[in-house]
Amino acid sequence: MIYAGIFVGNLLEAPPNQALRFPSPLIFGRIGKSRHERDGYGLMSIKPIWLSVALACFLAWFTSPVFAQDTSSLQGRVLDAESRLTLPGATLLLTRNGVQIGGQATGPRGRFEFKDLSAGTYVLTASFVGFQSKTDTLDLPLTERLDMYLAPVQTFLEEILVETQQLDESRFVAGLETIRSEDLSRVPMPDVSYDLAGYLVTLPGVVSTGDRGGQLFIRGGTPTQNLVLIDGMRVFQPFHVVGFYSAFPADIISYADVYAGGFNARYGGRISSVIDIKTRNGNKEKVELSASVAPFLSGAQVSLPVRKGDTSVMLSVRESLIDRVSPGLLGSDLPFRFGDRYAKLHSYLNQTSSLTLTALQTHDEGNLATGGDLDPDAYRKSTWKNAAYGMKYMYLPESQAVMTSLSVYYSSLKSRYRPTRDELRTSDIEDVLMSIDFTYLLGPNQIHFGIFGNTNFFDYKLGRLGTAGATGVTSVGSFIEGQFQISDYLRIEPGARLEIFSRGLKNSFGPRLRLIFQPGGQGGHHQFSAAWGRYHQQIVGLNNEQDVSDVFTVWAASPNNTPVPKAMHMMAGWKGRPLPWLELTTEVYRKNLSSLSFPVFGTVINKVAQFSSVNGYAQGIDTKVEITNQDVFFSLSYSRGFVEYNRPFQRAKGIFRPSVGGATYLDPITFNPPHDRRNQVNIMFQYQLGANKLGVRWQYGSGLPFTQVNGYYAGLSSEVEAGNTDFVTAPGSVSVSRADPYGSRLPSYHRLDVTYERKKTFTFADVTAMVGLINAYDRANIFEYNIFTGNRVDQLPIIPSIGLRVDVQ
Amino acid sequence: MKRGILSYLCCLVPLVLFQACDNTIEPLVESESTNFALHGYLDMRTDQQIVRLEGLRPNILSEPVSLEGVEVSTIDHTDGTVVIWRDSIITLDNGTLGTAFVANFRPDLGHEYSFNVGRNGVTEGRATTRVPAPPVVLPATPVGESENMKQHLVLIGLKDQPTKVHMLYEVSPPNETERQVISVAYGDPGFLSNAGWELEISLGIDRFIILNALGLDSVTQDIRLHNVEMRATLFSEEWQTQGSEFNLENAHGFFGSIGVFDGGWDIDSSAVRKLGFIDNQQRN
Repeated sequence: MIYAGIFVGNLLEAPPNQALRFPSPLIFGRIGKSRHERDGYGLMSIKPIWLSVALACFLAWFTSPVFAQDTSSLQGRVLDAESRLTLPGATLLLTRNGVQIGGQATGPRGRFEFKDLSAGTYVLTASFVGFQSKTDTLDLPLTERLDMYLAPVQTFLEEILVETQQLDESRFVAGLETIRSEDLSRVPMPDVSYDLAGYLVTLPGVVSTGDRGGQLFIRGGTPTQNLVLIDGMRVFQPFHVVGFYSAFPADIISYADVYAGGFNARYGGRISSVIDIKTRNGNKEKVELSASVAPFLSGAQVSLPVRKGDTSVMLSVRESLIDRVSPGLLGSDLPFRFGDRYAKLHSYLNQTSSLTLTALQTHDEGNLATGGDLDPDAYRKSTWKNAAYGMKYMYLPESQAVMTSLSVYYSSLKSRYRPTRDELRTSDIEDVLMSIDFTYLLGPNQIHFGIFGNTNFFDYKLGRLGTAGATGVTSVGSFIEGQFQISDYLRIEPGARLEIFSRGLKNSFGPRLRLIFQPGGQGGHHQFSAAWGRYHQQIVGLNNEQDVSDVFTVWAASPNNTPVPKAMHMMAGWKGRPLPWLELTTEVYRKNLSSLSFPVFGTVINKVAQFSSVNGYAQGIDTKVEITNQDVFFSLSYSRGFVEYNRPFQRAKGIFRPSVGGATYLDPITFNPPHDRRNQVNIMFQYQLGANKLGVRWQYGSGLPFTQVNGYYAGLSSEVEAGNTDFVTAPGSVSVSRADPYGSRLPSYHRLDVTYERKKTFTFADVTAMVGLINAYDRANIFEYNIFTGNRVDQLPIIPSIGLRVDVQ
Repeated sequence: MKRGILSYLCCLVPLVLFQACDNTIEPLVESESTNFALHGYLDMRTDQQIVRLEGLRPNILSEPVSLEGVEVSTIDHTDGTVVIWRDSIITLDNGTLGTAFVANFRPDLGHEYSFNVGRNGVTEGRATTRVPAPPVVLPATPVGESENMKQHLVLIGLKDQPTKVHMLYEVSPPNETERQVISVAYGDPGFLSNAGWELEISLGIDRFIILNALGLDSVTQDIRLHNVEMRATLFSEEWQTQGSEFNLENAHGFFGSIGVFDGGWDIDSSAVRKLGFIDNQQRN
């Protein structure tokens, strides 16, 4: 039944009346092909790249609208075969010679129209919730309007639920990037399986701390301001300690919506971004099995029908090997161990309802002391464990286009972090979420309404800093969002979210608005989109921002009577397809941020006892150029960003409770926080030649800010405070004088990854072998630098990698 | 346009390549002058002023930076007085050596001082402080009877908490000519208002304390009251904003000042009589 959700999700997200024309079957032959064909191992012919590009240019030019002659339109209606009533919102798919020409949904009166079609034979398929799909072969031009009658289905859900996700490639929504499972294979990885994390860092506006630590900063937001969901379950630490990998195996992912900002009202509780991952269901007809072996990460995945046609189970296990093979492979220890386990049961309970049970567990363990030869005395074992469990029941009545879903989710993160060998900091968070969602399908328009209740528990102990606590916060709320097709050119998506909390903020109201404008109507070559919204974050994650990369996060509720972090997003963008094989995207954004918690670094070394409240903004421009044809994929993205925080004069606050002892007053300052990456370039190239695939990625990121030191001295402030003369002979404690906050920059980050894959098909299985070089020119990118000791830990050196994957037929 | 873009690229590409090749980190701010850490304060309660001074070390483990040739002085910006401080090697509690600078003078209320550290006549680090100005005492008419009698005061011009507040009553016991000053401690009383610092004096209770101090019983009536004063310790602004270092230039640590305020006023004669004292206040 989860696919019913996906189906409706498509209706909600895909622009109705969509009819983008793809004039060249050759260029767009990728669309609609089987997975094997999409991966380039099927019927692809071997052509020199220059010939493909030249031919694509020629065809694109020749078939562009300027040269299109003798075109006609295909108009018609979709109706209920029994009642003869029109069916608004029915989906139409038009193909020619097996290639998708366009797709759209019927309007309020059940009407559709495909424009600018040349004469010839076409195949039109109409489908609608609760009706049998119907396919007609048509010879254009037609002399009269076409009426397609759909018969109501008897076996309701089995017929209507779509088992494969077909995303609309042409849609453009400001702030949103939809990643499909096949996209993940474009990014070279150190093993033969792909991963969402590898792809995310190629997106413009996404800043990573590198290949260790697993932290992503999205358009000026910090990792704790990102909401990460997998099938609706929140995941607090979504990336493994080796930053190549997310907690989600690529094999289970159907698609992921990455909102870099301006996200919908259905999402809340975070102020920066949303990564919403939808997994696929297991195969309900036959057993599927795959396994991969590689030095970094090996895994296996099995999908099997439990009750044929109705119920499936999918299991996935991954486990790292790098800590065991790194001495031999790299010549030095890489003391990280991580893995994840995922299970999903999906069942059609009857014709109108389904049940999904999902479980995810991840574990990470690492010695963060150094990446080189380890001093046993410096060993700092730190661990992270995610757990997420979910249940979703969906109900779709036969007679009404209203889908109802009831969801219950539980998530937890247990972090154990050792800043020194003898000090242990812990932070646990548990999250329980229940929600009921209703989706109303009103022809080309949709309304999505939901109510929810959420409880969080926190428990933290900060070692020798002496701060510990156990708190909780509960909230209830609702959201409503609509999608209204005003005309062929304009769609408006307003929304609002109201949430009432048991502490801190008390209540929040977040209005949202999105506009999508297509000057040429459906099928136009240009799209514009803009989004705006207000966001609040009641629970906060606090990091030690002085470290270049800090993987320890303390989660807690915002204190009472303290403003909670807020943000206002504005973004606008343009996407153009001037040539069929060329796609250009540009987006500008600004996020106004307020009441963010930011650590106060006193003069005592490595002590973060207090926090301040800062305001600021993030703004920038992201651009991307993509060239796609049958054999070649090329992507160039560039991001120019700017993040600035300002701290007004204030009294420093204690961590989660009033500060004890003397008050510390903070001067007003303006600074660029440590994730302010100004320039970022990402180049991806993939070339397929039959069963061979070459992948290349180069990344560049300008240096991140850090705070320099003026020098060290004996601190005597506590002795002076007493107002006596003890300070004259007191030895004091070693203190540091810091220069302007984040006034200097680290070296830039850049890295080249290259992989080569070859796939061989046997009767029983597909076998893929991979060789690769990660960090091919052995750039010493910085991972961690202790400004007090001068100890520098670099990211991964050049790593040769091999992998083998078997997909059993 | 095209030429402009090419020029931009010609500049940008080498810049990016240069940046991309640079892989060094400079953790320490490069500065030709020494940065200093100083800890101390000017104290009106004593004639000798002491400030600890240290040159910033480039790393945690390095030896203290030599202060040879360092010149320290204070300038009283209110009257222009310049005082040269002298260095003094001191043995710290842990047995190591440190450096303190010493000067013999007593600062004045309301005066602003700068503490200058430099070499060869060039000031490299500076700290400033203003000893709090004396407030104006605005007494209200005492209210209440006997042991409940109280007097409200406003210390106009005072913005921060006065500490170690004492009431000083100059009295003569019955049949004695010798005057005695009885001190009654009030701790850190009062609150800040728009008018200034407001506090309340418990004259009725203070009378019992005076009687007790003089060894007299509670019915004694003929004690002569000569003078009433308040003494308070006033801390400069820097004490209220520790950690901010707003008053330090090229220096770190803490530098502030402590003033001592003595202010008197006359208590209304009828109130003095109600307290059971003989009014012998001279300022009437």
